[in-house]
Amino acid sequence: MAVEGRTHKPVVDRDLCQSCSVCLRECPAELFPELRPDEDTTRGYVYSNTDLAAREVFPPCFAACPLGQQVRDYVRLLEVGNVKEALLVIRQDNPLPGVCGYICHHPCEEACIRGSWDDPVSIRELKRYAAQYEMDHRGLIMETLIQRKEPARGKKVVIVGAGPAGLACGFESVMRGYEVTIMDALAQPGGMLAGGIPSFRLPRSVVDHDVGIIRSLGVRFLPSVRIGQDVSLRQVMKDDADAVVLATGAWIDLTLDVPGEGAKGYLNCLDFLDAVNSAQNVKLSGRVLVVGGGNAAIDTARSALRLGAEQVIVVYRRSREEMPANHEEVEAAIKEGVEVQYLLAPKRILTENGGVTGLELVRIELADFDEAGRRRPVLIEGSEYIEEADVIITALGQRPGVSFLDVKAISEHGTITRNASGMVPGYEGLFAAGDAVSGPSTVVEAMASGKLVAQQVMDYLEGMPRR
Amino acid sequence: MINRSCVREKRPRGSRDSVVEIDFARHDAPMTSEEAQYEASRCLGTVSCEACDVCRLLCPDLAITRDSLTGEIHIDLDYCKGCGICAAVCPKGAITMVLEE
Repeated sequence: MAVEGRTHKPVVDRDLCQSCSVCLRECPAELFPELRPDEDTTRGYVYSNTDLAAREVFPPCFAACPLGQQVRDYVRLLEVGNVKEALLVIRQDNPLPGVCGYICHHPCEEACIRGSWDDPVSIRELKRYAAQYEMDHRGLIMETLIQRKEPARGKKVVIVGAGPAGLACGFESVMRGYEVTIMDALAQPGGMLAGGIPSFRLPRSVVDHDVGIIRSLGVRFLPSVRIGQDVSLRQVMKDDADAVVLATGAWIDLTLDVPGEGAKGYLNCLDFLDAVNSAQNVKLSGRVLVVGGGNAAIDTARSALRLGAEQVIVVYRRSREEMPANHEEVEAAIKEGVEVQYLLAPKRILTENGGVTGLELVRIELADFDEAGRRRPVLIEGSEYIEEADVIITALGQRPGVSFLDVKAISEHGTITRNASGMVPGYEGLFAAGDAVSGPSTVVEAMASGKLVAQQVMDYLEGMPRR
Repeated sequence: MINRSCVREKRPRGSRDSVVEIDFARHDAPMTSEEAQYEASRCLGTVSCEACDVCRLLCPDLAITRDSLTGEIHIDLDYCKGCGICAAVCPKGAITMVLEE
């Protein structure tokens, strides 16, 4: 018996719990926190042995969201038809509701407890519906956002990179009353949203709308300025900026490291997607092989199909379960006619007169789990075969390009390091956020990182204690 | 009013089969307002009363009753003193305290 005097203890049946949180809300120690350390009582005993920070958060959709969206609150408002209020609830935590309504990888839906009954609530579709309302009633929303804006503090924040992390950080900073400038290497703000994700998944008008709201709130955009090339980091930091945030993302494609790279018809996915998205005249024909298993690989395959490729095959080295791409994106790609082949590794690119003619592949079997929890792929000796191809596009993942920084500030993975208060070591007033810190991640994770850094920038500028 | 929209029917997720044509435009339109309201009502954390009985058991004045035929919950305002316990404990947030006219 764990607690003296207790005869029964409550046990939660996970299959039946609807996470209504009544038990949490009505627990006496929840209502009166000062009772928790009361050593002589049952609750004192229980609470002194509970790590409150590690306690499970309810509801699960809220707990799963990196942005901490109040999912139940806005779904409840949508149920009674109050779309404007729902949208303002979404807006409290999410600076890019339109973008998230289209391409978020929705961890909330995976966590939804309704999913264990029939199907999870289509939370992303609901957000998209609310975001559509915002696009139709822009003035109404702008009015409230301007009301929420804090008075000007007279300090300048410069953000490098106009991707999800930079935009989220810019939105949060401008709402806190800072003067914000976002510079970007591309001509269009949006980062990967504009240059990496094709328009059949995320229409350009949605990105333009979300960026337009941030622009209307007073954020200044400086397009086509590449840091380290057009302007040095020291100069940006010197030019009357009180804080600088690096949100440069991860834009360097990993390469295959097999013989035959550099042949005509061998591309990497970011170059390809950038060309497709900037409406350069891209034409493809014949058989296209896409190597990789992430969302970029699926986007590339679906784009290639739309550009006129006769056959598109995605080659991935693990099995379907391990594939990092969103499940529904893979489904859609297969439905459109993309072929996906699993458990294959590229060995050699076959070339003829400097052009690609095929790819030699080796079969793979999955061995035991590695420390990251994924099964380790092992080559099967002698199983090599040749897949003919006219074009090979690799989508193996990306890494950040941060050569403008000191070696001290770059980790062994090529990402930017930062200390507990978010600052890059060796630079005063320089912060970093997004994929440049974490390596390639998802839109919401990058946005969450941008939001956190906006808070850290404020703590730094206003001299507040570290949280 | 207590909303008892039933949550037990099955419906395909998201209600839309995307990708009809293949080009660079997105073809699945956002939900209509009826679809959105229906989909939102499927959330177990929303306003629909599920007649879980928590309010009835905790009402100090026995002003809340359960219809023995339909299982619906009724609040008899003639006996309610307005303490607000039911609104505080309702796991669905289906009861709100409204200022008396």
